[in-house]
Amino acid sequence: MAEAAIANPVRPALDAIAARDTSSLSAGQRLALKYFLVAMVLFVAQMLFGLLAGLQFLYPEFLYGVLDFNVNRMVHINAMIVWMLYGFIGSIYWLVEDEAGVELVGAKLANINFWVLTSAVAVVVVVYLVVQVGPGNKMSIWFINEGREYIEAPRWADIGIVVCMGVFFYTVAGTFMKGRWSGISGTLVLDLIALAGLYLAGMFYTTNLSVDQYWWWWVVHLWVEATWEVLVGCIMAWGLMKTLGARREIVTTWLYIEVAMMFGAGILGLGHHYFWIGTPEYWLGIGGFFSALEPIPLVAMVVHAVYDAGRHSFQSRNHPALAWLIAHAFGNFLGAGVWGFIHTLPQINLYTHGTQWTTSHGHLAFFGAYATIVIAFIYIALQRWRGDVWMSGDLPDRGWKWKWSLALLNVGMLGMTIALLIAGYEQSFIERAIGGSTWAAYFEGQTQPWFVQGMQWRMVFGVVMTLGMVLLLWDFLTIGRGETRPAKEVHAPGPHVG
Amino acid sequence: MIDPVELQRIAVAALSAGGIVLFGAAYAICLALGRLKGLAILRPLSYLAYLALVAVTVLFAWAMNLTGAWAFLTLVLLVGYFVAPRAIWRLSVATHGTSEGKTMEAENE
Repeated sequence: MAEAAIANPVRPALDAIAARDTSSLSAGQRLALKYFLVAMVLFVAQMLFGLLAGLQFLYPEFLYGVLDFNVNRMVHINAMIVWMLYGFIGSIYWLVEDEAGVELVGAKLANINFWVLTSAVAVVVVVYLVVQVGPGNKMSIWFINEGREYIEAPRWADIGIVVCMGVFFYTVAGTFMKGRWSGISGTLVLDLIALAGLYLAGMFYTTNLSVDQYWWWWVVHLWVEATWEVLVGCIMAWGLMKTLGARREIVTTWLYIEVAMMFGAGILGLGHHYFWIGTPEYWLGIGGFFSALEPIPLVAMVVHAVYDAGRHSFQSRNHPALAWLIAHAFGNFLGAGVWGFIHTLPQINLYTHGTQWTTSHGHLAFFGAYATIVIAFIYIALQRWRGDVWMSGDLPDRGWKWKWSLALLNVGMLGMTIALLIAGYEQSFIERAIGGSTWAAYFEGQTQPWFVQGMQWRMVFGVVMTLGMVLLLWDFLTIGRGETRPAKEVHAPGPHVG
Repeated sequence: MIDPVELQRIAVAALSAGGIVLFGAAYAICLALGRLKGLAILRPLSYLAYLALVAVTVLFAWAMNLTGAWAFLTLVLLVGYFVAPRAIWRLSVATHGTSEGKTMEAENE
């Protein structure tokens, strides 16, 4: 088999886990488990490299010349982006056959695609770590590091990612075309086209840095605040049907509403990245205005959440998944809504952009909007994998592991966000507003007590998060094992529409 | 043109911005819960939350120097945070009502 020919050092471990009684799962679901496993490995990598980078803020000499800060930061961020993408892809493979009503089209190809993509990710990370310094030229762009923040993968990997996304799209769209379409699947497939298409905007260089940054932000912003949000909306819609028995007509209608509202403000909200890169001045107005509108849909959706919760006495068949879906709602509201709005207008962003204030927003927004939903979905998948067993209240160990991991991860993230905000506030004040963004002011800002203490507390809460992650992984390995009770019955989803 | 936030107002600008979103959410929650549970006390509370929203928005506009064309943003924020939750309520009633075989009028009663 061609699949077997692809060497990968983690394959035996993956196969051992995947072989653990997956007979009741469909081909798509078995593939999804592999994606979830790699997602969790990368989650661990993200945490570890984040801890190292955090330590280097406190002890700049730590690992200097061995594993420099810029490399740690790059791997920390790249691991986050890729583990979330793996989580999304896994979630889609998990739901695609259930949603389409047929078996996965091109299952073998999809498996090969997984190994190719995972091997490429492993090679890219190894090269990041082995070749940390050197001249930047055409060869390094193609084979080592493209040098573009957040999407540093070299050009060969860029092309590979597009090909792999093409195969992923083929298998998903092909399955829906062979089976049945629904509102969720239609939205999902259209979104996947945009997701793959937008990545192309980050794959070419121009000699004008402003123009280059202009296109680069298309990937970074429009992925995060448009296509990823829609993807998560689709996953959440399906997840709500499965965990709460929410009606299909309702979740589909609200998916459309959400997409309309998100695109209404989110696309031109892109302008808040164009404030200071040399683009025309009108972007200050466009970016400021539409960014300011972005939290309004989030606030308005609170009404629907209250309405839904009060109108229907929902019973959850999966408490951990539901708890993470709730964490998603709050995290998205606080991280993207509150933390985004406090520094989105150019009047204040002049001082805050690129400081720890931005980092504070980025951490909570990514965790709240995306990490939470992937974790929720993994719990949904685990329940089915372990035999569709009971995961509501009254778990044998009182569910202490999932409850504590939920608490530690969320408290850790919130604490880290506040600590970074304090450091960022000081940095905006001393380095930017008073110091005028000079090189000397940059170093003065980094040595102020509020900055240093903010970084110390960030480290403390980073450790809290790491403990939460360890518990989470332990819970993933054990929850539902030995459970004999079947999952709680909830309302069946309504008929397919669209 | 923009007039950047003055040094002494950075904290006011950030806190009032956060206040807008949080009071907006408080208004939305009181409005929705009041209608859902029929609790009369929540109606004045929702208006109180909206008044607080107006106050922090004015503070925000002052701290952020929202003058000239930027003043329009203040107006849009005030109208948006007032109207959007009500619109979503109507959508909620309409979508759920249709799905469950009820009319919107019946839900509003």
